[in-house]
Amino acid sequence: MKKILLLIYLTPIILFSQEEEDLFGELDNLTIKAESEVNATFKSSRLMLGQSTERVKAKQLHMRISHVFGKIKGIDNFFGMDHINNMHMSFEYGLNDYIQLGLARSNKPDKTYSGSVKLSLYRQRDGEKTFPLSLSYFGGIDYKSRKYTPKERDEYFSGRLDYVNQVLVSRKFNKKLSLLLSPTWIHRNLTDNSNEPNNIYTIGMGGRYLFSRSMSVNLEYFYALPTFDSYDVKKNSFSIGLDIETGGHVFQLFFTDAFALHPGKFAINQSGDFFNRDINFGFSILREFSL
Amino acid sequence: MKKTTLFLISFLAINIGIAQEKLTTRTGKVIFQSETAIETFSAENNQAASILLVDKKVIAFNVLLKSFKFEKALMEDHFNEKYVNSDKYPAAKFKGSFTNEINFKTPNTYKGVIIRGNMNFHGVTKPLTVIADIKINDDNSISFLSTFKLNLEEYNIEIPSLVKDKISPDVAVSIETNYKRS
Repeated sequence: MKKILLLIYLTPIILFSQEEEDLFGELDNLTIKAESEVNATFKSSRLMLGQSTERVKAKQLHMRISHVFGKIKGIDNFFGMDHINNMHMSFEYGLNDYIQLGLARSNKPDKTYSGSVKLSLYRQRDGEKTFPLSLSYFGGIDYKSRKYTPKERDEYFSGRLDYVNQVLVSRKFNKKLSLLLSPTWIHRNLTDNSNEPNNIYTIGMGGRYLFSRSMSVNLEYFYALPTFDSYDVKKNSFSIGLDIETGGHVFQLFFTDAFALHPGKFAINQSGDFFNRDINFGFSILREFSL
Repeated sequence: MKKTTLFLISFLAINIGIAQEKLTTRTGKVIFQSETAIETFSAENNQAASILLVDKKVIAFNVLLKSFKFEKALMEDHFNEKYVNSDKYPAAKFKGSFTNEINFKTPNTYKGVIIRGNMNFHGVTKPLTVIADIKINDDNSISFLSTFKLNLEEYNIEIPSLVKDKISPDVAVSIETNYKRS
């Protein structure tokens, strides 16, 4: 009997010491849960040449300048650096966290101006509302502003327009590895040559592997589905490169067999064969501004 | 009979002693700022949870790192991914106690309250002493305000040499909470 009484007597003290240990447990329950969206699937809104599922967030502006140099052949042309093959500038703005608008200009091959929109439809999520993938849509219109001959071609406005539609699907498998798949449909109103198809379907695939906290190695390959005509040559593009992130800036260095830097072109047409030493060096610099 | 009465009285006394006042908030504000000659940036979190045990003079915080908002969205991603590894270590936790005589019943401001405790951050637990102001407001609520420095290296957060001149190894942290009383 006495023992039981003693136990009852001490119960509050026992409970009390437990309470202290539970302080953090209680705090955990009290804490408002953070967003469960998986972040940093890629270092920036572009894998290398192509778009990634990363978006420019609300009221942020990304200014990106990309260059591709000439073919790496030898010291004669300083490994291609003597020629700036292409210069691409782009501005991407986040209207909100799910809609990104873009304007770009690429000097090669057709002095192309591009307008684009990227919609972030689903984000990969952890926690309570798990979702395994991020899914985005990218749509663009390219306007080729270069001079054409003959005059009729030059004055044919709609013949200057190309359309790009991409579905971007990615998954961050772990802290280091993320993969991306991007089925792409490109429609050209007018082709250079009547034997070429107006519609080309390509599948972009790639990924990144972080090998240090600031750097990742990226691979990207665009495979164009066969069109069974004269266009069926040298249209896939392959790129390998590095992302270097320095807090607000992202530098991308890449080796690629493409020379175009806008998706309406590089995804369907390229200058050479990567594995036959038709390789160009390029880089892009990204600066984020908060407006 | 007497024994039983004595027992009951002491039992109640202990229970009353333990039925202490516990104040909570889930909207505490934490700001940290890194300042170097080249770049100054800060991040804000308005979802810090805290418990104040008034009678025991114990205060505890739980702050989710993913809830920090940066001015630059890219920085926010990199902060979580590269620096604090918030997937693995989601929260910073602090629990400390103070010994100052504070009358929590009447409005007054107590400056320079020394709070000794332990900080758990990025998988490292270290003793941390901070100096705080505790204010008992007219509406009987309690405000807590503290600023202190955290050395990132002490918590095993390495700053890559590439950004050494942009991120200060000592970040200034400020915590502001308000505990409503019913």
